[in-house]
Formats: sequence, structure tokens, C-alpha cells
Amino acid sequence: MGVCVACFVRDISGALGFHRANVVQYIRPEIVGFVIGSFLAAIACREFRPRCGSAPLVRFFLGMLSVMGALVFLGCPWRAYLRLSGGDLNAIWGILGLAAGIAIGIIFLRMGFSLGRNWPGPKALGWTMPVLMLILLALVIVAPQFGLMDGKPAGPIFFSTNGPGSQHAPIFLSLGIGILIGGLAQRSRFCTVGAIRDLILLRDAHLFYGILALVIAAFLTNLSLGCFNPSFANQPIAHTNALWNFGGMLLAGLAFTLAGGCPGRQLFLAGEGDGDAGVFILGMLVGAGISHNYSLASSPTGPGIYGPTIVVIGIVLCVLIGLTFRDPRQSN
Amino acid sequence: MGANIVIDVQGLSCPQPVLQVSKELKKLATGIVEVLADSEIACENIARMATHAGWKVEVTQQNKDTFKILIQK
Repeated sequence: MGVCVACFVRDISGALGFHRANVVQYIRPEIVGFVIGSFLAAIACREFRPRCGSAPLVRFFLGMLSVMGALVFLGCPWRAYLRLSGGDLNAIWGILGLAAGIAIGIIFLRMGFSLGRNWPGPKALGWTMPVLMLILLALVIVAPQFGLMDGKPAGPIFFSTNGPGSQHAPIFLSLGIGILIGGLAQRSRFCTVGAIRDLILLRDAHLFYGILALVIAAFLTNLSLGCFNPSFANQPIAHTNALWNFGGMLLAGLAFTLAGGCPGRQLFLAGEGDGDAGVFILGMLVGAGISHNYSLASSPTGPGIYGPTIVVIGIVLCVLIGLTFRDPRQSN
Repeated sequence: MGANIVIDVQGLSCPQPVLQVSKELKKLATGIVEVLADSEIACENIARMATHAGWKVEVTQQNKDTFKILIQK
């Protein structure tokens, strides 16, 4: 599967019992690592700034909508590029949808869209997400169980025994790699949505080089391991419906652009003390649960029954947000 | 010499700080623009954009949470 923020948040949502799709339940230490790595890098470089208050409720909904769109495609922007570098040609539709969603978001930005300003907060605000992540880490290590109910684990923490949720690296290896990525991404400002946005909006390619590096490194790794299989059919955790691969990522790209960055970037911002980014992540966690409870998420056989419906509803809601939100305190 | 305009982008999320400053710079052929920002990333993005557009940029940290970016041509 590679590293996928949407899939990993969906797995955490399942592990916490927010949904009961038993093949996608696991507290992913990589997500913990992304926040902690960014937190440590921000502290070390004096960039830790607790802040919040830029329309957190709207950001929560944008987080929900973004993950719903991403789970119709089956991946976040990171995974879209990783899928492409492994030869999954369905990812092309997803990446085109992502770019289309970002382009629509840019129209709103040019029209003056803004979720308003954040304000400095107490240090404890900035510590909230890192501490929450440490609690998740403790839960995956301790794996508390209440026993069995009808012969199945009764939670509170659920672990997949088969399917994608059961496939993972050892906890501390995942955590270590997550911390490394979190630290590097905090310093480099890596953002897969900002990369396309800045390229179109500002003709600035510096973030786009990050995407190129990701794709080239993953492609060479796949090639050297014999894992590059170019085709549309029979790709791992992917479906071949071009329309909803495109539509799902259009919704995700639009929601990410309105919220200011890709889901990875939201995790790194949360580590730096940005409470609004933390609220966005919580929205993703809830949205992922709803996606599986309400048959919105796709499976390798195709989109979920109501996946296309939520994509259309989500795009309409994002357009309404884009049209209505302005900074009440415009400078000058 | 005072700034022609002052732009406060504190608290705005990406890419609004650089977008606001870019809009103002496009209206001016020459002059002095003072920008108040509250994060390193906003400073980096604004400085990169303005330098690219041929402006001279100077960033100073006023206090822990405030940066002043002086842009002139």
C-alpha cells in the first residue's frame, strides 16, 4: 500500500471502533510519527507556534469531505503518486481529478476566499495533537481488550487479522520512519497540494520538485524490486472506475486546497502547534468512519453504493464554502 | 523612508499571505511595501515571490511571533 494518510487515518478510525470494516483496523504508528517528527523539528528550529481560531468547524467538515473523496479514489495525494510510480494507471485519473480540484480551489482563492485568521494560543494548545498521538501510540502497544462478544473481539481497540489493516511493519520501525518523514517534511514544507497550487497560482515550482522526487524515487524502487506493473486492471487496493477515481480526488483536492494543504501537510502543521490543522485531522478521522459505515468508500470491486452521491454532495458543499467565506479583516 | 503600503498577513493560512502581497506588488511599478507576518513559511514564500519579481527583500524578526518584511524597488 505504501504510505497513505487517508488510508492510515481510516485504519486508525477503524481501530478506535468508529467503523467496523474489519479488514481496515489498525492504529498506524506512521501517523503518530508524522506529528511527533514535525513537533520535534518545530521545537528544535523555534517554529513551534500554538495557534487556532480560523473557522475550525468548517475545517472539521473539510477534513470529513476530503477523506470521503479520497476513499472513493482509494488513496490520498501521496498514494496517488505512489500508485502511479508502481504502474497503477488508474492513478492518472486520480491525479487529474486532484489537479482539477486544486484548480477550482484556486478560482476561489483568486476571488478572495479565506477561512479567516488564526490567533496565538497557549503552549498547551500546541501540545494537544502530539499528546493525542502519544495516547494512540500507547493504545497500539498496550492493545487493551475487553474480551469477546459473539466470539469476536469487543474492542475498545480493534486489529485487523486479514486484509490491508493486517499488513504493517513492526511498530517501532513504522514510528521511526514516521518521525523521520515528519521532521524532514516540517523543514522542507513538503505539500503535495501546495505543489500543484503554487505551480498554477504563482508559477512557483519549488514544492513541485518534492513530488518529482517522490515519484522518481518510488518508481526506481519499484523497478529495482520488480514491482513496476503498468496496467489498469488488478492493481493492489484500487478500482478501475475512471469517472469516480477522477471525481473522488476532485472533491479531495478542492477540500484540501480550501483548508490550505494536503493531509500530510495538515499533520505536520498540527505538529507545529496549528490547532486548526488538528481539527481538520479529527474531521478526517470521523469522515473515514462515516465512509465505511455508510457505504461511501470504494473497494477493489468499484465505488461504494453511495460513493458517487457523496462526491457530488461534497463538491457542492465545498463550492458553497468557497463562495461564501471571506476574511472579515482584509488588510489595507 | 516610510512604506507606501503596509500589508498585515498575520494569521492567514497558505497561500493567502503570498497571494495578497503578490496582488499589491503587481499594482506597483516601484515603491516600498511593508509586510507583517507571523511565520517563517509566510516569510519564505513572500521573499521568494518578491525576489523572483525583481524586488529587493529584507526580513527582520520583530519579536517571537512577528516578522517584518520590507520589499522595495
